[in-house]
Amino acid sequence: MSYYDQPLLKPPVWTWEVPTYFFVGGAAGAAAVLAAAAQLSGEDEQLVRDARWIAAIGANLSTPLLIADLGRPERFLNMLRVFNPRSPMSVGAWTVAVFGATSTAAVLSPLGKDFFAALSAMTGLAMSTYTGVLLGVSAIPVWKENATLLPVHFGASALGAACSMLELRGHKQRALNSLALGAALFETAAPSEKHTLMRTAAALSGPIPFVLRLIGKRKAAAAATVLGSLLTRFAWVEAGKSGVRQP
Amino acid sequence: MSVTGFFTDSTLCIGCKACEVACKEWNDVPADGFTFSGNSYDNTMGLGHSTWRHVKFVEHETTIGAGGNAPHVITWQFSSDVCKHCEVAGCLEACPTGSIIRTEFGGVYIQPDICNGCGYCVVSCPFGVVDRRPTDGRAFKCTFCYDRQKEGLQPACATACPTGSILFGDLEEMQRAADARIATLHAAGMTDAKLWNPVDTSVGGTHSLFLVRGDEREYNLPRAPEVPTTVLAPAWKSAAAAAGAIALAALFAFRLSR
Repeated sequence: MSYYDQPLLKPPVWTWEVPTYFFVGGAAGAAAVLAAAAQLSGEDEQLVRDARWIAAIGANLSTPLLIADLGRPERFLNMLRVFNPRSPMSVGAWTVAVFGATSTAAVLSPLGKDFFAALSAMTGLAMSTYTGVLLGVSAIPVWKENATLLPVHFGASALGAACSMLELRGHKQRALNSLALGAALFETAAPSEKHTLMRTAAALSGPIPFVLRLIGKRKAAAAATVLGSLLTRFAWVEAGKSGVRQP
Repeated sequence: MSVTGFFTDSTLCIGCKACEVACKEWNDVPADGFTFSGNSYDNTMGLGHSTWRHVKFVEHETTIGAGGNAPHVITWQFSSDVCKHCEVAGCLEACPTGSIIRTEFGGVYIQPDICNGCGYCVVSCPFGVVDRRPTDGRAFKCTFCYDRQKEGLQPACATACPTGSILFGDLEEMQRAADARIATLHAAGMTDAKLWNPVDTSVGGTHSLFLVRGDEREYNLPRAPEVPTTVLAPAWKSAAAAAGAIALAALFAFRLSR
């Protein structure tokens, strides 16, 4: 029952920049984590360097995407006017700022690259997961009901995408395959809404790359995972727009 | 300086929309288009970025004690909706710029010189009140006439209301006025009159009290509204667990494959 069937809640005003950022920022964050883990394990230097570059490029794409979505882009610095721990958007803005600076310094700084890379990896962990908190802590029922699923879901999606991007760059480490296999397994098991785009995203993130990896088609699996990871974010934002029903 | 509130009484509202007009005029709110809804005499349909007071027209069959005396004539219940100015405000908690503040009068106010239009308050309001104005880029809603209150005036809507349906004043006084009005209505046989104020939810009560008859959901007043931050701690715990799992998995994967 409602007033002439009018939805009580307002739909999100976010456009394509936001889900694209969820994908780019998440993959960049996970890439920074992979760079640190690879370096700690004495992996091939080229892998470490490429992972750091994915983190840096992703971080530097994230900021313009987020600014472009603002109603008043020229006021983007107001995001750093206060720190509001009750707001995942505020925590996220600060995370993006620190991640952007440290991951850029991790590839460009003349000294202290490893120090910046360590900071970038730490904030990268937040980058790959907080966007799930951002959606979950809202009044939109389909997001709020999945508030504990979304951070894990987006984290697994980000990890799979980062491994896949490195594989598409030509890296063949077994660790990348194992991690992407694990992410695909999680994505296969993750619940999905009755939504065509979300079903497509889930198939491309879960069962398809999982099977492709089992039969040794790593590059095809990687391409599916990257596309699936992007579509996953679009699907969840779209679900929030179409699923504005009465709480 | 007292904590203030609105008491909006649908049993006194005549649907004149003077509150809507006064609000638009005083606050210089732009037009937001004209769409024929076909729903009673209401083409506005809801609060929005450029509608900060909205009169709802709820139609009913005639019942004893309400409306006309010919059975074929429908009755109207009018109720002027407005921002609820929640005690625990979803929009205020979500705002990353500090644009949304609580004023000394207890209202929730968006500072227009700070808002950068991120849109997070739009999805954080459990009542669908806040919205981003596409032609402006910033989020807007009822200001509780903060400027007028600062000068000791009543909000424009309450001033313009010709029937006393919109009362404004000290919040506790409004609560007492509402209780007294409900007692009067119940004594007159209108036992379906009730006060809407979600004090027992995470919203923790509002500064906009509504007296309605019948089912409050017909007025788009939810029975159990919840602020988004009820899931803040579990969501962050889940993110922390995911982050830990990703870090450990990455370390183990590279170590074990050496």
